[in-house]
This record gives sequence, structure tokens and C-alpha cells, in this order.
Amino acid sequence: MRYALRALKWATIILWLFLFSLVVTLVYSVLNIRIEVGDPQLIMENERIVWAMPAVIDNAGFYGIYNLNITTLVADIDGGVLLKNSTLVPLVQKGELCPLWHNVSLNLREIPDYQVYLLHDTNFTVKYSVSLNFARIIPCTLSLSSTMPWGAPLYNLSISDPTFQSINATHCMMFLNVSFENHSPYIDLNGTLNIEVLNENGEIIGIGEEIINVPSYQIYDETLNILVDTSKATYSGTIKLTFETSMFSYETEVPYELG
Amino acid sequence: MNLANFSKRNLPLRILKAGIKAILVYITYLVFTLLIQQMCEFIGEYIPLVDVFFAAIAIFAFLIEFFSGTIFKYMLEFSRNLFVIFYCIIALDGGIIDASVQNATIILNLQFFLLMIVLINLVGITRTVLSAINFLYEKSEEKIID
Repeated sequence: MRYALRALKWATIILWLFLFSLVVTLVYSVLNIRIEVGDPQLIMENERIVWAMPAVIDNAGFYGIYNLNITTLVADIDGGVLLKNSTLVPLVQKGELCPLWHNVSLNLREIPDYQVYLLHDTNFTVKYSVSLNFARIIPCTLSLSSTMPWGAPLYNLSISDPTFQSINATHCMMFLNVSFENHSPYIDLNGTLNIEVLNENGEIIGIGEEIINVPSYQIYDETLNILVDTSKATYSGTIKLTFETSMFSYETEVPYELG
Repeated sequence: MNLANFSKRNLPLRILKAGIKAILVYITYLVFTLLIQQMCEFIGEYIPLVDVFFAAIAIFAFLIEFFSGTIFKYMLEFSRNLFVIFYCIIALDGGIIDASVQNATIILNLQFFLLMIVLINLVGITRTVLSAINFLYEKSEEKIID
């Protein structure tokens, strides 16, 4: 009996020592992990806006960091997921300096009903989540959420009723005022505004193209002149306006009636 | 049972020893709270649980020492081990710690440590039961010899 008791006593002592040393080394290792997050960079890449977040993880502890997963999720006001980007680092070994980039890429065309966000300001919810398995025995997850204001690049888009001025027997000049405010802090609007004037039968009776260049937080307010072929003109019709930029295209139509 | 071992002569010594053990537990508690002071913002809701835990352990330490040499010591040791197991399971929510500060949430999975604590205390329970049996055996032997 005494031997069994002595064995159990030593087993308990060894287990407590193991647990204590494990806790001490884990706490020491966690305190020696240094994470530096650099300034996020905004990169305009073809049709995408990319927020690139540089970070360096200096794991000076005794244990490795496994399955480090950084996820950024952007949701609209109703909770609908607009985009989700993840960066996975399978292993940051002990004593390793691991530089990483977490990129959040936004392509407006990939967002469902993205045209709503071209015209209306709103707030997006941004959720950051960092999950990892420390030393293969402590899985943990850190979640942060914040609100990101979204500024519409074509905020308050307003197209006036056209006015016409006769030039000759076959042509007239159409004057059309287009105005909007670029509320987007990320998108400088560089592109074209194509205008097509259609008669009742859908035939094109006038074409115009305007180069637009509206930086962030600037107002666009221009009166456009379009030469219209009155020989094919009908009493009413539609004017089709198409904004074409590298980031998006937006099409709208307004009806008109000849005075 | 075995209260005969409780002579009035060594009662102050028992109380002194028991008091010292309880004070040692209290000192451990103070050191522990100093170590976790920086994390108080994150684990604020767990602080009362830590207080209750150390208070209970201090009471157990006092009583176990006070009743040493009697069967009550083993009963108390058994109770302490059971208390530690169930208290840790309940206090740690089965090993998943969920703490929130403002808009940040951290979820820690401490199931490994919970498992270790349960294992150590199960070994402790086994040892206590065997010690109690051994104690009773020795007592009965003493009676036979007397």
C-alpha cells in the first residue's frame, strides 16, 4: 500500500510540476510574441480596390503558432456579406520572424446590387477575426468589429430635363445637365460618360461622350451638348447615360419629350 | 471517530499550523492576483470566481491541517479534490473562456488545462482513498496490538 501511495504522490507532484512549467513557459512565450502592424496601403488595381495590411510576427517564445488565420469580412447594414478575405499562415515557428500581408480586395462588380452603393451613402460593418492554435494546445480566436462609412461615388446623381435648340432643318442641339457628388474617399472617378438619345422606336438619334474626372469629395456639375438628328426624332424617347470607369459601369435612362 | 487524537494539549499547535497553511494559500492568491492584474480588463468577470476559489482552498487547507491525524482529513481532501474538479469545469465553462472588451471578443480554448486539472485531481482522489484505507488499517492494527 505504501509503495502505491508513494507512486501516486510522485505522480501528482510530477503532473503539477508539468502543468506549472507548461503554464509558465506558455505565458512567457505569449509575452515574447511581438506583432507589428504597418499602415494599410490602398492600391487601385485594375477593377479592384485593395487594402493591403502589412504585419510582422516575431515569435520569440518557446512554442510555434499554428494555423494563423486572419479574416476580414465586410457586411452591409442588413448583415449581408459583401466580401470576405482570408490570409492563412500554416506555421510561425519558434524564433521565427514572419512578415505577412493581409489583403482585402474589393471589386464593386462582384458585390450583389452594387449599383445601390454607387448612389447611396451607407455604413458597412467590418469584422476582423484572427484565429490561431498556440503550441497546438490553446486554440484561440480574437474578433473585432467596426463600422466603415461608405461614400457613394455618384451620390445625388441628378439629370435635368433636356432642352433643345434648333440648329438647322435636320439637326438640333440638346442640352442636358448632369450633376453628382463623389463621396467616395477611395475612388477617383476617371472615365467616360456616354450619352445616347433614342427615339420611340429605340433608334439612336444622337450620341455624345464626355470625359469625366472627379476626384474624391468633388462635385460634378456640367451641362452636356448632344447633337440630335431631328429627321428621325419622335415626340418622346429616352436618353441613356452610361458611366464607364475602371471600377464600375453604371447605366441609367431618363425619358424626354420634345417641346 | 478518531476524535480521541484531538488532545487539548496540541490544539493551539494545530490551529497555528492550519493558520500558516491558510495564510500561505492567501499569499499565493495575492501573487496570482498581482500576476493577472494586467489582464483584469479582459478577465474581469472571472475575478470573483478566482476569489471564491482561493477562499475555498484556504478553508480546506485550514481544516485539513486542523484535522490531520484523523479520518476527517481524508474526507476533506476528497471533498477538496471534487470541489476543484467541479468548480474548474463550471467556472471555465467547460474550458471555453469568452471575454469581451468594447468591440473586441477573445475566445480561448483551455480544455487541455481543464483536462490536466481533472486528471491531477482524480489521481489525488485515488491517493486520498488509498490513504484513508491505509490510515484505518493502521488504526485497527494499533487497536489489536493495544
